Amino acid sequence: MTSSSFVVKKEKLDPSELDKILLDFCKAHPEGVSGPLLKSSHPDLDLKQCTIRLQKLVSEGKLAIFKKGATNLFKYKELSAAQKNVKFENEIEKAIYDVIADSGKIGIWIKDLRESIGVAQQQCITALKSLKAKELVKEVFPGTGHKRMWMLYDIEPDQQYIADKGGPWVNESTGEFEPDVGEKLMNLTLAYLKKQFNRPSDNSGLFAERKRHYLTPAEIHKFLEEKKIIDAKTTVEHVETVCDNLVFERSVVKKVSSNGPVYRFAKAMMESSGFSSVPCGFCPLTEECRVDAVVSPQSCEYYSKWKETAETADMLVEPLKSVRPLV
Amino acid sequence: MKLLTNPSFDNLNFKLSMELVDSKIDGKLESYSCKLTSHNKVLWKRFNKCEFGHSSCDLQYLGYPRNFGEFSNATSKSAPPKEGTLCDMIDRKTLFYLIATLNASFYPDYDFSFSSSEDFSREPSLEFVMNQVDKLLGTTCGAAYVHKLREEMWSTMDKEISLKDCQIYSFNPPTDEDPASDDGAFWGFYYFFYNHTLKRIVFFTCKSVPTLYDSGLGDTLSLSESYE
Repeated sequence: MTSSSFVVKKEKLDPSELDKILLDFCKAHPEGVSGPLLKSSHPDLDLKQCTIRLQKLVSEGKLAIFKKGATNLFKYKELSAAQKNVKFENEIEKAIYDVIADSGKIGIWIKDLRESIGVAQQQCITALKSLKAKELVKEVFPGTGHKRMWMLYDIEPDQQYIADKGGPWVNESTGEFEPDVGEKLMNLTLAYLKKQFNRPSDNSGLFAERKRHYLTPAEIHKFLEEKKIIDAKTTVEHVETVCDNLVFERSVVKKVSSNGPVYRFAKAMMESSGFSSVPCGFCPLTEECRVDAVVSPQSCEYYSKWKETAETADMLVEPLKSVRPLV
Repeated sequence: MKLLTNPSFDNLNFKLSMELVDSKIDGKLESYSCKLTSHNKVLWKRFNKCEFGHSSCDLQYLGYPRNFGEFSNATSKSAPPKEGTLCDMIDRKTLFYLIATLNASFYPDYDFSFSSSEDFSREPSLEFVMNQVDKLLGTTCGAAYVHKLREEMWSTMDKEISLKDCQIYSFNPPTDEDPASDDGAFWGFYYFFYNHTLKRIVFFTCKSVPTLYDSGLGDTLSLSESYE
């Protein structure tokens, strides 16, 4: 009578029940829920209906969707304490809250807010004060010009609101320039670029290898942030400034690509030989310089300083003193 | 800054809102007492914290008044410029009064707390300011201003604040930060008549907006509600 194989009947559940199951499942898996994962633990659910419900929950703001590789993952979104038991005094507050929520990271000018809802000035102010007390909205400056902008409490304001204090090398409380911070950042950036440059070759060809050597300021910024060398106040622009400084020092090469500037470590073309750095090459008094004259190699300051540098340590400098310097 | 009630100013404000052929004059005269409200005191603390280690008597640079070129041409024959002053200065307390006046006048739409002192300037003389204002309002409004309003306006202001004893400042923001440009104004000005002894500021602002400009979102019903 019965067949030997079972067919599991996929029931179409009531939407609210399904929502609850999905939300609980997402809560239980904070790392993110994918289609296959859901299927393996709840084989009785109709996957198609689940997908529709999941997307609906995302649009309602209860779940967040993000991509990991090629798969989409759903994550349970923690509501802020204020939102969990949000209670609006009247319709005006709710309308204002909705308009502000729509404005996202940029926020909305209070005058535009008033005019889009059509509410009088005093009512608007009272409603905003009440929402502010409930920690649902906040005011941000400086906005464009001198406008007073409002946005949701727990949203991170857009970049335009973060006043540039001058970078990590400016002391915040005194406003003084700290060269050590800048130097440290430069050294660390250079070390990172050098490491990237010296990575073992993976035999993918010269062009591909050279391309790998280049790093964008964003990648460098990410590296420095991960190593906790810089904090959130340092922007990618500041990292770009550091890289440009290294370019001016000729330790790093910059290339302008379609996505912005990229940098790579600059290896010296050849080792500088000691002889090529002899100061006589660019001395303005070579003509007058003779042994035992007023200007002579024995009394030459630049010559003695050059002798002391590391490159000349191995060389025999003594015989050179008695030789007329080459023009 | 506490707004002082002044019925003659209210009367003038009504007259300063004139509808003309293709533009509308929107003027406002307000008298403020330099007495700081508790809210102002909080802002004063924040204002002082913003700049590193400044005290209230520190001076800051002001910008040049508008049309300064005309003034220098007019007075070059009379008096030589003061030695050593390339630029006017303002102390932070006075600057704070000016900013607080702007904030009070444009509440709740604007906040000028982060304005730089260079957006403000010291006007060289009362005559210069009167000249500038008369020129703008005269050319825009014509006889309505020159014959009817001008005399009344200046004499009422003089009664309130004794114009000769005032230091006159103006606010000249860049065009993209100017509240007047939000309404698409042709011109606008912001003058502060500060009487140090009376501890009072008369704030005089005016702008000329084109009448065909649709200045807001929403329908006419909501517009009329917000212009109460």
